[in-house]
Formats: sequence, C-alpha cells, structure tokens
Amino acid sequence: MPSLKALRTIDLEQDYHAILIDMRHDRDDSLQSIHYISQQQNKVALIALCRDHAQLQRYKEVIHHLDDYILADHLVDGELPTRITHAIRRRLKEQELLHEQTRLQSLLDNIPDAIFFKDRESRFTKVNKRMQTVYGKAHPSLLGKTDFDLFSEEHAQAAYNDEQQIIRDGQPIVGKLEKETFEDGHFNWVNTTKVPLKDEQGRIIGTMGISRDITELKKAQDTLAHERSLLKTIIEHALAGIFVKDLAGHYLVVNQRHVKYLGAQAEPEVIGKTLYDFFEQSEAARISATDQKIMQSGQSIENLIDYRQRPDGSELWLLTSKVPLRDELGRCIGLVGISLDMTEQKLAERNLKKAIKTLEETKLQLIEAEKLKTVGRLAAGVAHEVKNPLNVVALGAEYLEGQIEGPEEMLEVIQDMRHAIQKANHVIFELLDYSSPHKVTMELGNINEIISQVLALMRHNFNESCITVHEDLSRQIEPVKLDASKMEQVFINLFLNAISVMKKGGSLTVRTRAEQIKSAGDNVSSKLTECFRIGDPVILVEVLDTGSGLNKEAIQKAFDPFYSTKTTGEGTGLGLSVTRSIIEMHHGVMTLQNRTDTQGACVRIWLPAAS
Amino acid sequence: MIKFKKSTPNKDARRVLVIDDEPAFTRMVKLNLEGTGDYIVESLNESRKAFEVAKAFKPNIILLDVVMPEADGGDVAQSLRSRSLTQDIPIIFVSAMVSQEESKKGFYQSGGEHFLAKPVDKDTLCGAIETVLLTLK
Repeated sequence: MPSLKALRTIDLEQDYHAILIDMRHDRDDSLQSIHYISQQQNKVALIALCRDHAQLQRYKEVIHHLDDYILADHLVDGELPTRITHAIRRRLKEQELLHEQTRLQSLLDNIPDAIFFKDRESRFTKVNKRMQTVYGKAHPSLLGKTDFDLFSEEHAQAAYNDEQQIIRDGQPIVGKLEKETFEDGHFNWVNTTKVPLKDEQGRIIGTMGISRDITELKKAQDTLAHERSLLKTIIEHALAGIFVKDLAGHYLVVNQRHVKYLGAQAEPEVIGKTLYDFFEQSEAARISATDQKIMQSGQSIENLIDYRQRPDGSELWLLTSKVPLRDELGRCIGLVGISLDMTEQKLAERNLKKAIKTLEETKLQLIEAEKLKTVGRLAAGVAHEVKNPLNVVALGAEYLEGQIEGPEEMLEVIQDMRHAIQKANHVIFELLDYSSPHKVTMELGNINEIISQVLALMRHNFNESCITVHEDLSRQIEPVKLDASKMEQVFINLFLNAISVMKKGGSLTVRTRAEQIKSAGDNVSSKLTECFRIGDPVILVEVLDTGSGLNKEAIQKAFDPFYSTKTTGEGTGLGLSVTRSIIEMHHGVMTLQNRTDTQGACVRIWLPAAS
Repeated sequence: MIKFKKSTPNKDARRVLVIDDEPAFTRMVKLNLEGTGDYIVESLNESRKAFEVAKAFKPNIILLDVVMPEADGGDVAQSLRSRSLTQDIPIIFVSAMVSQEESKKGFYQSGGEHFLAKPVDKDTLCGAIETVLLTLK
C-alpha cells in the first residue's frame, strides 16, 4: 500500500485480514497509519515490520496498538506467514472478547434486577447499575461495602451467613424469598439467587447473586391470601351450608355444614362429586333440574324451601338460595348456593300447629261436653216428665187388656197401644244413653275386621237398596289403635250415607291398604302433612259409591254439623261431623271428594299404623 | 159390646197403700193390683196426709213415689218410720229419677231400701210386693 491517503479509500475489513506496515524506512505516515487503523476498531490484524529492537523502541507509543511486530534482523525463513496467521487469530479473538464483554456489560446495565459480585468477606466487588441506583443512594460507590452498610443487621447477618455457607460448601441458593429490612424501618421483598464465584482454577473466590424486587407482587399475593382467608373463614363459619358447583354439577367448593347436609363427613368426600353420589336417582334429578334451569336462564332463585331425607332417614328442611356463577366475561360457569337448615323451625312450626289443633279440639270437646251435659240434664228431666204419664198409659193399657175378653179388635188395639208405649220407652232410654258420658277405650285392632262386621250387619240394608258391595281389604295392613264401637259408628255412618245416595241401586267399594306418607304424589295435602310426618306408615281406607257425587258446596260443608243434603226428617246432618270427630280422635285424617274414575263420591281415611 | 172379666178380692188379700201425686198413676196401680184379686189398694195423692191414711188403712206395704210437690218420698218415709203405729210398714220407693241400668232392672235394692223404677208394669209391681213381704216373714 503506497500511502495513508490510499489507505483511507478502502474498506479494510472487507478486503483484508491483516495489514503489515513496513517501518524499516521510518516514513512519516507510518505512525499515522497505525493510529488510523487502530481507531477503526476493526478485525484486521495490524503487524509492524522493524529493522531491529532499536528501531522498535522508537515507536513505543503505538506498540500497544499492534497485534504483533516482526524484527527483520531476526526473521527466519518461512516465519512471516505463520506470524501473520497468528496475528490474525489473535486479532479475531480479542474482537470476540470485546463483543462479549460489551454484551455482558449491556446486560448488567439494563437488567431490572440487582446483580452483585462479592469477595470471600462478602464485600461488593462489582455491582450493576440497578444495584447501584437502588441500594447506593447513600453511597456513591458500593464497591468495598457490605450488606451491613446497606441493610439492618437482621437482614445483613442472614445474607452474610448464606454467603459464607456458599463459600464453604459451594452449593448455590436459588430463588430464596428474602425480606430486606433497612435501618429506617422500610422493607422490600426480593427473590434472590446466589451462586459461588470461582477463579480459573475453580477455587471459590466469593459469591455472585441476582435479586428481583417482588414487593408489589408479594403485597398483591398477601392481599389475595388475606381475602382468601377471610372468605374461607366466612364460608367455614357461616351458619348456612355454602357450595359452588360447575356446569356439570360437580362440587367445587363446599363448607363443613353443607358436607353434613349431604350426609358426608369431610370436604374431600364431596369435592368433584355430584348430587347423584349423595341422593337417590329421582331426588338428584329433581334438584339437578333446578340447578340446570338457573345456569341456563341466568336467573337466581331465592328462599326455596326444600325437603330432603338424610341417609339416616331423618328429615331435613332447607331454605336455599342459588345464583349463577359467572366468569370475567359474564359467561355462566356454574352456580353458588347457600342453604339454611330450617328443620328445627319446621318441626317447631309443626308442633305449634299440632298444639293449636289440640287446643282447638279441646275447646270443641269442652263445648261439646258442656252441650252434652245440658242435653243430659234436659233429657233426664224430660225422661222423668214423660215416664210418669207414659207409665199411666202403660198400666192403663195393661189393665184394660187384663179386664177385657173381647171383641178381638179391641184387644188388638190395646196390644198396639202397648207396643207403641214400649217404643216410646225405648226412645227415652236411648235419650238417656246419648246424654250419659262416654268412655273411649283405645285398643289395638284390625280395621278390616271392623269393616267386615259392619258390612255383615248392614247386608240387609244393602240388599234392600240393590247395592253390590266390593270388599278390597289388604291383608298386609298393620293394626291400628282404635275404639272398636266408635269405629263401627264411623262405617255405619259412611255406609248409611252411601245407601242414601244410591236409592236406585249402585255399587259400594271399600278398600284398605298400607301406605307411607310421601313428600310428593297423590297422598299429599296440607292436612296430611299437618297430621303426619313424611315417611309415617299409615292405613288408608277408601269408601267409594256410585251415587250422583257432590257439588262444590256439599264438598265444602259436608263436615259442618247440621249440614245435610237429605230432605228434612231424613237426617240430622250430624253423621259426617261426628264421623270426622271420631277419626280425629284416632289422630287420623278424613277427606271427601268426588271420584275421578266414575261418578260418585269417595271418602278417604288415613289412620296412623301402630307399628 | 165390651166384655169385662169379673174379679173380687181374696180373703187374704194384701193391703197396699199407693202414694203418688199423680192421681192417674195411683188409679192405674189400684186397678191393676185389685184386678188380680190379691190386693186391696188405697190411693193417696196428697203426701202430707200419709200418716193419717196409713194409720186408718193399716197397709201391709206402702208404694211411695220419690218426687212429689208437697212432701217428697224421703220425708214421708222418715215421718212414717218415726211413729210406732207405722214404723214397721215396709216401703217400696217408686221413682222415675233412676239411672238407665236401674231402670232396666225394674225392681232393685239400694242402701237397704227397695226401689221400683218407672215405667213399671203389673208383673214387676206384684213381684216386688211379694218379694218384700216374703222377706219380712
């Protein structure tokens, strides 16, 4: 290359791997050329060729820019190419190192984490910009300082102990959560990794570490944990059962109280399960249907009173509210429910109703007893007043009968009179019978036997009215606690009523069967649930006629005293009223309806089975 | 034409005093008992005259109504039993104020006393009189 001027016109890196500058003739631009090339920071190796050591000494100031120099007086044949090749390699290596160092420094300077290097005494030997900015406010340079200069002793000592441990056993500490406390009392949460720092021989010469400030994250985590704990405490200690289900009905969250409602012992038995794991198929399907409706419609339900049977058979009444559970986009992803145990209230309510009913009955009984007492007194008075004149007539007729021999018609008249008097006497005895106090004796008895006896007793009446009787009495029924004579009266009254509505003939069906009071089905009515508990065994007696049935008014008033559809003189209107009183005395329920299968009326009586 | 049976009292017919405020009743008792021929009957409707009539009639037995407006059966019995002339005459109380069971039995004893329950027929009347008189012999 002839001159410096020419040198400036070419792209050195593009065209050359090495430049050999001949210095032997001490040209002026040799020095300038070296300066120029070194300033380019290029990958081109720079080699100077000098005459000897003495000449080299004159270029001392630029020698450090050279990758190599060759002394002409020492040059061995064939050495030059080898030297140039070595210089090129060295040059490239240096260039790479420089790049590497630049990249590393760039990383150190720009990373948002604090990076530090420490010697064996835990003194900072190098820190990155972040470290210097955050921790070096009070110290223009952190180099030579220790944690004891930056933090409170509590934290500094712990960090020092960790570093000494690393230096002793060479084991890194990775991802340790540290609370950095400062002398002024404030603190940071950091996630720190520290590893041993080794020299070329692998000897531990200190430690290096990286710390990430996670104070904000930790605060958010703590807030979340606090809220979670608060929520958990509320859910766990709520006086209600709380649960969360997914769209498929799997339990995601459930508190202890709800676990109990499901008949399980602990939460793990419930999580991931569905209603079908705890209830009978039909029951589970019923509740699931409600859940699905809520999730599909997005409409919540409030204060639904729901009956469940616990696995031990006892009843459970729940007041339940359910709301759809939505994700952040507003899509329904399940439901949240809350159930209050209402069983105690329900039982109390039922007991109260019973108590009120008993009071009502007692009141009615007292009124009835008082009425009977009055009637009794009246009857006794009337009996006395009637007995005397009747006795006169009786004795008179008897006398005449004894005295008269004929004619025959006269004697017959007297006979008729005596019969009439006997009948009148009988009426008086009946009246005394009715007004005298009655005792009720409850004994275990079979309702079928009583029905059969009454049917036998009244066979004549049925035949007379051309009524066919169908006895459909179940043999599988349990005995009932009853007063046989009163119960007979019930069926006599019912059968007499049936006869009176089937004057032109018909058919009477008497049916008995054992039943259980259910929560759903055809035997449900408020009357039954007032009187019985769900699951109670009962005996159902049905008396069905094929008369004309009843109109609305008759159905409503049939049990009222003195209400009668019969023409005057045929009935007192006391029959059904008395009948129902007797059934209620037996803790039973009696209803009157029209038949649904055919024309006619249907009387149903439920009596508690004495199991 | 009505034909009547004829009856006259026997020689040893018993004397019966019937005391009741109802004249028709005493008349019927008298007619029935005397119709048998075994009794001579005196009727009394004013109970306060019981002692006078008993003293004069000297009955073997007295049929005494319990409930009467003047002096009731109890008072009359006490008055008769308190006097030597009448104290030994047996009394059968006749009453309508009896219980159903008593009434069905017709003639019965209670508290040492003899009772007849109304309504009463001729056979019961005669049976009661005979029973009481028999126990005295």
